[in-house]
Amino acid sequence: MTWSPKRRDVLAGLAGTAALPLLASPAIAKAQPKVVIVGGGFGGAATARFVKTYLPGASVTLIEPQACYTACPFSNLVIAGLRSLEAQQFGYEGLKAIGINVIGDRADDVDPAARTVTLGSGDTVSYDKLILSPGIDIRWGALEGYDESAASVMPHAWKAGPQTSLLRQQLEAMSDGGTVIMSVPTAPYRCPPGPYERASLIAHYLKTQKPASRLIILDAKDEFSKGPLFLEAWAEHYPDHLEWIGASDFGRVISVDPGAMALSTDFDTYEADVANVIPPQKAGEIAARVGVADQTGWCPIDPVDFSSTLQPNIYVIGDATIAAPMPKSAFSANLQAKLCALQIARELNGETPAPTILANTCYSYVTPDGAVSITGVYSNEGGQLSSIEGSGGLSPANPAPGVRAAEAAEAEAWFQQITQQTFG
Amino acid sequence: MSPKALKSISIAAISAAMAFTLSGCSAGDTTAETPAQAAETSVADGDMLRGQTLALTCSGCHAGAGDAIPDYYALDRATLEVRLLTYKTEEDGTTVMHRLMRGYGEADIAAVAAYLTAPGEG
Ligand SMILES: Cc1cc2nc3c(=O)[nH]c(=O)nc-3n(C[C@H](O)[C@H](O)[C@H](O)COP(=O)(O)OP(=O)(O)OC[C@H]3O[C@@H](n4cnc5c(N)ncnc54)[C@H](O)[C@@H]3O)c2cc1C
Repeated sequence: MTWSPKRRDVLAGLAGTAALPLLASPAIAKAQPKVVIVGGGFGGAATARFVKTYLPGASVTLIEPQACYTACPFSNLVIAGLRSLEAQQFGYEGLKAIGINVIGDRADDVDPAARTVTLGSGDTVSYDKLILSPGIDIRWGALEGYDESAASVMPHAWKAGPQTSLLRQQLEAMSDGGTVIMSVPTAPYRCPPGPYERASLIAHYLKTQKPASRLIILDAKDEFSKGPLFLEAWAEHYPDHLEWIGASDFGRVISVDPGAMALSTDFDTYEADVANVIPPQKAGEIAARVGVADQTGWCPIDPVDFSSTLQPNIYVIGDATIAAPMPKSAFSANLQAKLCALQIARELNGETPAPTILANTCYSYVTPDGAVSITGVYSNEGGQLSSIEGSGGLSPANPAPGVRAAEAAEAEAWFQQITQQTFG
Repeated sequence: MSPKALKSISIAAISAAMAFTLSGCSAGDTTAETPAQAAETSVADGDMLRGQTLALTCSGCHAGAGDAIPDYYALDRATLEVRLLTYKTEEDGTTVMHRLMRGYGEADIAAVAAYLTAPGEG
């Protein structure tokens, strides 16, 4: 068939719609497996949509407790007062409309032998294939003093939603002349360049709205994602409003005291008017309960189809996985979702999944209308993900006029595309 | 799965597009394959499957939702392949696509272009 704009709108976002017939060939279409997905974020919602696309005969169930998903990408703009939280929110009607069974509950446990998921309600759901995309959870207490109650005083805002709004409100309430402190952990954590994008946009807010205030980043690392580009942008745009202190200069925060609004390093104690603590993280808690997380707290996978190396018939994608050098990004989660869905469809069709090339692109705003990007291209051959030499890398330093603005426009287009592809 | 159902895809258009793009450096070259010779080249089933897998990466950005990113559905195979190869080979290119395409071999670029522009039937 030819693609009328109308038809394309209906399917917009489903990858390679032009080639659906290739997938929906009779053999594959008649497979009727029970596929259950836990977590309706960037990874899980996309997996549900693509399994349904590749295996129209499958029963596809998505388990997600929240009626509305709040996206982290672009949430730093919300914190800086440049975007509404509503623009970050997506429901599951688009998934239900294509026949996905969405259960509004949390998965409490999994019995890999019986192949059942137990819900919060106590009900069980059985599966042939189970895909987990539970994102991250905070390792409460791993940073001394940072427990769940501390997060209501010193928000992490590393899961978008109420935490995002809280940090925004605190910045708004702070009087001019205040000090904002951000603490950043060592890798691995969700969205490696995310803290520095946030710092850029908070610095912009301070510069334009509270010019006597400043932001200090206390970092547990000496180098960070897109580092040279952020440092260049900060020197140009926020020399009086942003200071970054790396590990070698005693930037690593070793404890926090929410009562005193204090953050301590090996050398100093800093008092904050607003403290944004980005804490150490691990795979979403369900992963450890199911036995797909290892001692690192993250989930080892076979990078060809994202099957767990620890449990049969269970796949893990997204932030929860050990997939370095692929970063924990929405872009990665989306690609892993599609790849996992396609390989499951092929496997059910009797084919052996073959290695391929994967890629990632993440944009970060450095000003409200300028962004920088990092890209990576990866092979999943030989049982591991590895970067392909000579490819990937950062936006140019000292760019020609218009380059940062062009990447900001691309960032916005990417957000539109990926959210439409994921949520419909 | 029966990718055999896919019609063979002419690459005559590719030759034409290449000739156009490269005219600056290949003028007077008379040994090039003529469109008629190339016309019957089809894409192997395996390449189509490879293209399908590779193309999963593309659709995270390029399926028409956002204005600032080109929509691959709007392109024909030859144009798409030439564009991707140009990104790969332009040494001083710094865009996201330049950085990405350097990681892909020419056969993979051909497979992706063929897959993404294959006529659907559904
Ligand atoms: C500030 C910030 C900025 C970012 N910017 C970008 C960016 O610009 N580009 C980019 O690519 N990425 C960005 N990211 C990263 C991106 O948000 C994550 O990589 C992405 O959300 C990962 O998807 P996921 O499916 O693994 O997890 P999530 O999207 O977190 O989804 C997990 C879902 O699982 C559900 N869940 C958890 N446990 C259970 C359970 N037991 N039962 C049922 N459901 C459960 C949760 O409710 C949640 O909805 C950013 C992140 C942050 C914090």
